[in-house]
Amino acid sequence: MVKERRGSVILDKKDFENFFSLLAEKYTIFGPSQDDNGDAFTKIDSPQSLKLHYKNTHLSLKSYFFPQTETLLTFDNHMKITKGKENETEEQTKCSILFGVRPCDATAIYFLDKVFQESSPPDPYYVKRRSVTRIISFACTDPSSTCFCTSVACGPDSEKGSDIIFFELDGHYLVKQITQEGEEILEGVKELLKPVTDKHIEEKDRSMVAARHKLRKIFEVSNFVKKLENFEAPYWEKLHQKCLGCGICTYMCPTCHCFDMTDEVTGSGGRRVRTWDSCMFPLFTLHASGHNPRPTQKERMRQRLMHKFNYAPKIFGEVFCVGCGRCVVHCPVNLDLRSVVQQIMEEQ
Amino acid sequence: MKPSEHEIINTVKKLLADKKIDLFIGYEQGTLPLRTSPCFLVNPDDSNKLIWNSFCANNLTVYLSRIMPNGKNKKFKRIGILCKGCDSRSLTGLIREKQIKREDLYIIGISCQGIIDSRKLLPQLNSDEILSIDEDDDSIIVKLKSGEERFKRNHYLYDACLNCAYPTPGEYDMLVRTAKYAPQVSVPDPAVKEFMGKPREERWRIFEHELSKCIRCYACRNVCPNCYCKECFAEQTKPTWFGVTSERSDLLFYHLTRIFHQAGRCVDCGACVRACPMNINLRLFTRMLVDEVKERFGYEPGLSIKEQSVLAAFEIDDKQEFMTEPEKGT
Repeated sequence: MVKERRGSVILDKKDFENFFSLLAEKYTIFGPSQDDNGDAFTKIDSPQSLKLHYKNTHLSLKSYFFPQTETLLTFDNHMKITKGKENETEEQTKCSILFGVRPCDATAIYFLDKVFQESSPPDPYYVKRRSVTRIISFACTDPSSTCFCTSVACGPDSEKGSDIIFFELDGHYLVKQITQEGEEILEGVKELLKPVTDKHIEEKDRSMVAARHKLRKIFEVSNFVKKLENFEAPYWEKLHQKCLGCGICTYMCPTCHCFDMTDEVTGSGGRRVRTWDSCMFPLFTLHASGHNPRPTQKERMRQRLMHKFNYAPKIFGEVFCVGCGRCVVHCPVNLDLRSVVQQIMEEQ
Repeated sequence: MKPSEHEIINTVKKLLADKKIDLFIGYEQGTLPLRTSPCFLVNPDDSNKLIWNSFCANNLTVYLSRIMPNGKNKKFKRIGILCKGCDSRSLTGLIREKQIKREDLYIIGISCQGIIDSRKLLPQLNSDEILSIDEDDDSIIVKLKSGEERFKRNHYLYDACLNCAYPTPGEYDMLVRTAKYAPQVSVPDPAVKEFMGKPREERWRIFEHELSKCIRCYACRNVCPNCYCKECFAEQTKPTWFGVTSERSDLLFYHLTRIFHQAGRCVDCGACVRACPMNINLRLFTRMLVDEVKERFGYEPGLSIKEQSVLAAFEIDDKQEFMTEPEKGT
């Protein structure tokens, strides 16, 4: 882990275009803009196409580092194996910046880092993408009604996963560097930056108090983690009743990271491909014998909740939920994670 | 409380108390604005949480083949269920395809006025806090923090509801009547007509563009009452029918197969398009099949338990130029 450094500066909004141009010289910039389904991260060529006032993007950022489909290696009939990424002739010369990321999505990347980068062995495909990407997040002042980040140890100004975080003030941005990489980015634009005053800090603090006020805390996550110790609790029998077993909650989730690997073989060779998988699917645990240790939606839904709220805290020291609310918004039967947590908390 | 809601609650309470049914599947208030959620009742006293309004979108019949796999459940021998017009057609299909027995069901049919598409109405509310929602025959009345607003019901209905020929169920044990809803039904569906009016290349482009958005969550399949297969082709591994990736060829293969499996069976309830998190217009393609089957064979699925399935029937004058003169095809 890079040592966190404290230090905030001020960028005038009128200097933002210059700031963006200077960044664009050194980095490829991805940011929020409009697509078919609302807001999405796309390559941004001019600051005008950035859409910084948005709620959460439709899909999370995870596919940027952990794509839904990834060829790990290819092989031919003579057993000549070519590794997926070394196939690429074009070496990436420029680092990328993900600009305007919501702190919840950045925090989710911080969690994925623990899985793919800090665990042993690290995942080379993830590590490579991560090492050439910087994250500049934007503190959230206008959360959605489905957001619950403050209930799960995240928050509208969570710094986890970000190299720099921006706070929008009246006429300015308060720019806070978080990592060494963040400092390097700011070094390149230092002529545009001004020192921060107490007034700015107060204004920032006020806006964050207001944002937190909008984000009602609905449960105490540490209590919930403990509550889940009872694997055979009777409430699992009924919680899943509505669940139809689709993969929306897991695929929209910024922290769900399960995958499958498949060898696809054709006449002349084949490839090994990694794809997203979901614990909501029966095939996820189906054995070759035909036995399925998670035979019904009860066991599958329990797995999803236990993994996020009980196993992850034990393994990684973090609850794997950032409260972005995507699973809440998109569940086709309105099986709301927040009410599921509340129901379990109310159980004796 | 609306009279219709009152009638449903009282009926269910009595059915459960008299042990005429062991389980009732209906709707309860959702946790999100303009949303309701399926609910399962075994206790007569819980009946009060049942609701009926223009946001009761889910096709509840999807749960029947899950609760009664192979048409049986030891605990729930007879199930009560609330059905709109389209849902009752799904149910008729399930009975006819022998997934469930008619005598194991108590069907409360409700004549439907069309369901409000929250994706159409929500943007009109400018993220203002909703205090309460009411409705009358013509309008949805939303009380917002900033004041009361009325929205013309017919402007915000789901596309499937706008062209629904059977808002009132045909199969039921008891019918709850609300105001009459008689949309102007056209075959082919206006969206299908517009699509078919485009040149072939443009149609292919739209088809590819829409389906390439898919993230393979299988929600379209899992919310569909017709998709009751114990083992779906999408999950068969010996052999695999198509690849596991999110690449275009795999996505198109999945969707083409799913769509074809709906031929002569889809009742255009719109559950798939409502569930899709990527807002893919799945209904466009299944509705094409609905219209095609109606035009060619004069058949609409789900209207009667006794009808013969179009794919299982053969008439000597059935149209077959798509085989004999394929070059004339569109």
